[in-house]
Amino acid sequence: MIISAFSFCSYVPNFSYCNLKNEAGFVYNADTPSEINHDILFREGVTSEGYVTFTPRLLLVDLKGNISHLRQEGVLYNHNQAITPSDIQWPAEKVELICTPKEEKNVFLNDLEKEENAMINTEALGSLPKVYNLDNVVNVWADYLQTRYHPRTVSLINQYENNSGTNPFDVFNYGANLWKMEQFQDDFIDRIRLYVEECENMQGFHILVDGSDGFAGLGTSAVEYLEDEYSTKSRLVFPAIPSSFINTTPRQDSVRVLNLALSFHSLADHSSLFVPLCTGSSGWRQPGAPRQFPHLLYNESFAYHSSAILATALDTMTLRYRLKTGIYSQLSEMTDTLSRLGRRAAVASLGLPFAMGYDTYLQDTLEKWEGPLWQTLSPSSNLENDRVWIQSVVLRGVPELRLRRAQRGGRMQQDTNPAYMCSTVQEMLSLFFSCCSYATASHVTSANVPCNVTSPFPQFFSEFVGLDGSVRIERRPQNIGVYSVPAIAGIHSCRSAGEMLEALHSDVRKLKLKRFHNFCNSGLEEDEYRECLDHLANLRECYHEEFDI
Amino acid sequence: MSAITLLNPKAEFARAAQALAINISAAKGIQDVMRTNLGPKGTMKMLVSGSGDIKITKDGNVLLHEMQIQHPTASLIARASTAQDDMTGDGTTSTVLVIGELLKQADLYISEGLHPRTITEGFETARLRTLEVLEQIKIKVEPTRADLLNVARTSLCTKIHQQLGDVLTDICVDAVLAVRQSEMPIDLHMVEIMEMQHKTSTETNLVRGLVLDHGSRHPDMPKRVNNAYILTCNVSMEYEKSEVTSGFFYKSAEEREKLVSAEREFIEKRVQKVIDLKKKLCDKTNKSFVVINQKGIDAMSLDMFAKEGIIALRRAKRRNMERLALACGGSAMNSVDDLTEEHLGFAGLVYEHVLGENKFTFVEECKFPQSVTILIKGPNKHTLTQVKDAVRDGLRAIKNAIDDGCLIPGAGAFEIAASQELFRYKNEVKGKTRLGVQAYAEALLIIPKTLAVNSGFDAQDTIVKLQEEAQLLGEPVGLDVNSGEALRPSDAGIFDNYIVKKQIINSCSVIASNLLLVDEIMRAGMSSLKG
Repeated sequence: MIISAFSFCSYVPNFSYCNLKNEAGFVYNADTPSEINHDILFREGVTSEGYVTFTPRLLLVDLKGNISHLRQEGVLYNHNQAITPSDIQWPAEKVELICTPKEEKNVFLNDLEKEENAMINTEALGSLPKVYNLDNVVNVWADYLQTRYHPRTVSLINQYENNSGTNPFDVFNYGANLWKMEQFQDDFIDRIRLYVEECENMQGFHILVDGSDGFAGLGTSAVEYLEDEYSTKSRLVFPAIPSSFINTTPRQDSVRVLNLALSFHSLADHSSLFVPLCTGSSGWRQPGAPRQFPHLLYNESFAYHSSAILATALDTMTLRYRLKTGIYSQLSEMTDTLSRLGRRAAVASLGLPFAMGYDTYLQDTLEKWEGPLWQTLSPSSNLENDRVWIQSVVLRGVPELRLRRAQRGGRMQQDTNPAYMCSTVQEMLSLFFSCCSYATASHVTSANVPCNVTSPFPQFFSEFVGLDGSVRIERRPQNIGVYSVPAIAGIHSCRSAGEMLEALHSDVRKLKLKRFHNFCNSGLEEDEYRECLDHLANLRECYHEEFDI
Repeated sequence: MSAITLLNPKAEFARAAQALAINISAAKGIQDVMRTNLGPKGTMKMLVSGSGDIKITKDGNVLLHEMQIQHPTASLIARASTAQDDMTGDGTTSTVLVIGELLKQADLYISEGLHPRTITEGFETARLRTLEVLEQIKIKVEPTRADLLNVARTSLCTKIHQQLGDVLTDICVDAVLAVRQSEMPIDLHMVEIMEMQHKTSTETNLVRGLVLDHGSRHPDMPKRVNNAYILTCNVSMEYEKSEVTSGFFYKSAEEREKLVSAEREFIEKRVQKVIDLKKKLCDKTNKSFVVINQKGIDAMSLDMFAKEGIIALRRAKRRNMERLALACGGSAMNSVDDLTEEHLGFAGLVYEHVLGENKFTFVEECKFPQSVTILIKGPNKHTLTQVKDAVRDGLRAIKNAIDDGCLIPGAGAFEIAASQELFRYKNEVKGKTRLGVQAYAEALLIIPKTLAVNSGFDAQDTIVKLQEEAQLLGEPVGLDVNSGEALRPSDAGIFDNYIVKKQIINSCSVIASNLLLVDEIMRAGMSSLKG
């Protein structure tokens, strides 16, 4: 499986990979079978020096200047040979050296580097990993990057600059035009092809794309290409929206709405399923009030925080087809079932942490649960009291042992409560859903491994969340962080996905394309725009239940 | 006060002289950055990014892409210059230099009170005249290998070291001549450029065949075969779940198994068809069989091929399908039904080269390869990039020369000739417009001047020397960058592309005129409203 990511979203995969990498490293050394099949997202390679590497099958596109200290090539395959002007085949006095100041690395990265150089784990066995507070030092995603990338991973866009005043990369068509540039396209599709070539039985692609700026155009063009070239593979697309914008003008808001509308228009045609992600509640013109998680204290203005939430959701909900154990499932099964009746858009949700008390059991927790199991992560939609048709839910970090209290008492109780019939977490949760929601087809997956939240994952958990992610009554000591949490995440095909589309449609309908000359100048025709609006309206129609058979 | 402030009090603006000053200083700024690069003796620039990524280049186009240009005027010039590269593949540095110089010369007259409009009119007449000179001076050639070598060398030696330039010149010319088909426009896509991080850059070579950047994925497949039939196809040979949710079609696990095996069999039949053909053609001969597929081939199919000693490659480049057909004959097949021998290509030698985790498959010894591969080698990434950029430009220069059917004497000869003609022509022009023509004539001299300065000679000395020589001989003379003396470009084998020069003259005049006519710069869009 391949992941392509574009800008803001490149924050997201890093987290997922950090999680994965930690486990993967462990499995690699200790030779114990892991529950998660890492080969799905990672590849094994050999460097020219003969070292074995384990890198994510990831392609990432970002603007120049966004990758800070990270070298485009990565460090695995090319050791930093110091090159001086005299090494160049050119008269030495005619060589001009132009250096950009070296980027400073933060504490976390320096420690990581030291550890790597020593090639041994500096921490004594059994001690708890060091806790870093990176909230104020993280500017770009590369600042907390733990995974090492393959040289093929990072592509940079030189034409546009990060936060540039004169020439921002904020128009859908800029991205689409960039894709049309022969050199860029050839290079990028070659990278995709080389990954695909080495895959055995590839299931499909995950595509994360920033839906609100020029990357939307680039990403959707890439999806269109994937549909054309790898038509039998599934394409699961996550258009993400940053959780806060500072100092934006109404005009910039409108531009973002236009970008989103255009990308949804294209994704509805070319993706297998798309799931918009945003930690804000409304999402379109402004992200709106941030979604509140009961046990999290996160700052929505940090991309570092909000992307961590999105990454956890992504990592958890995709576990369905990444497990080695349990029922074999494929990406296409999920995308095909969830996108039935032309409902290509779906809504994501996440419960982080899945709040279980310390020493309590799943059955008790579910019985006492009040309110929704999860928070919605898609803009302008709300899963609470919603009509859900089909959903795919993954619960991780709840082992079978904690399913229910050991049986005491007579058989009488068991007969009355069907929950006692359940022997696995899946069954119990399925039962819970069938009781709580009306006529919802649920697919439930459970995994024993919790979500790993050691650094660089932000420490935004409330004080009552314990070391292992359980909810406790006493406070957690200041110097100890949370190391792993159980989490629940799902993708839902539901009525509010329609409301999400309607909200977008009504926002974008108010705008006059002629007033946005950047769009017209970069090749968007009035007709195409009309078509986009109609398409959105049509897509919304798919979510009316009156037409259901 | 500008009228815009009535509408928007926060607008920033610059008027008349001030606006012009902004434009001219920007043009000068970008000119200063680029001027040292011009010519075979220009400086090489080594760019080191904050994270330690290295880029070594001398190519104006690459530099402009690497630099972050903030100034709106400068980025306008940069865009004109990269457009030049997109169209012709060369002349980026010259474009920047000439635009800068045109503005600089115009500034002298404008500060004396001449209206910019008059100057631009002069520019326009001068431009037309210069194009006429270009027509006169061009040397019609029926492109022979020697001529093409000259033009390729001229272009390449301004971008890379002479020693490497010589190697690449031969490679590029041979590559273009190989893919050239009579009476057809040349398709440079048929020259594949492949990089191998390996050995040194002077070991770059031309492979008369194709190099693919992937290899077989089965350990038992042969690594090297002779006399191979090549089947290029676009047929999926991997088992995939059918697109409809198959949940509807089976009720039990056994039924599911049955469905899977039925679909599996369907793929096996396809593979078997290829194997049957191989058996028919190759068994009991010394020939072998290679399958190159654009779609996937799964492990089981690979296994079937391996048992038969067939090399199978999956996920080939889409463009390689076309290239393979040209290189080894045959045609790319979309189905494996009714395959016959004439659908297949043929290559004398197919082998695999492993480099770390990268595999390369060489398809060589083709009979009449009409598609070839330039295999770039280099010890590190930045050398590879540098050579690749140079090869691209070299190929473009050769294609231009063939398309134009003519060449222009290089080494600054054209600019000297054109400016002399303009000085003469100036006297025929009535009125103040002639000042524009004069400015244009002066501006063209920036190219030989910069060439001289970059080679370590005095600009004025050289120009005077060259002008005298040109007057005396009555034919174009250029600058010898090694001695500082005049030389006859056609003797030294220094030629430029006609289309490149034409494009420079046209775009520079237009951009410079537009910039001169700007009398007010304002920045008052909604986006500039702060806070």
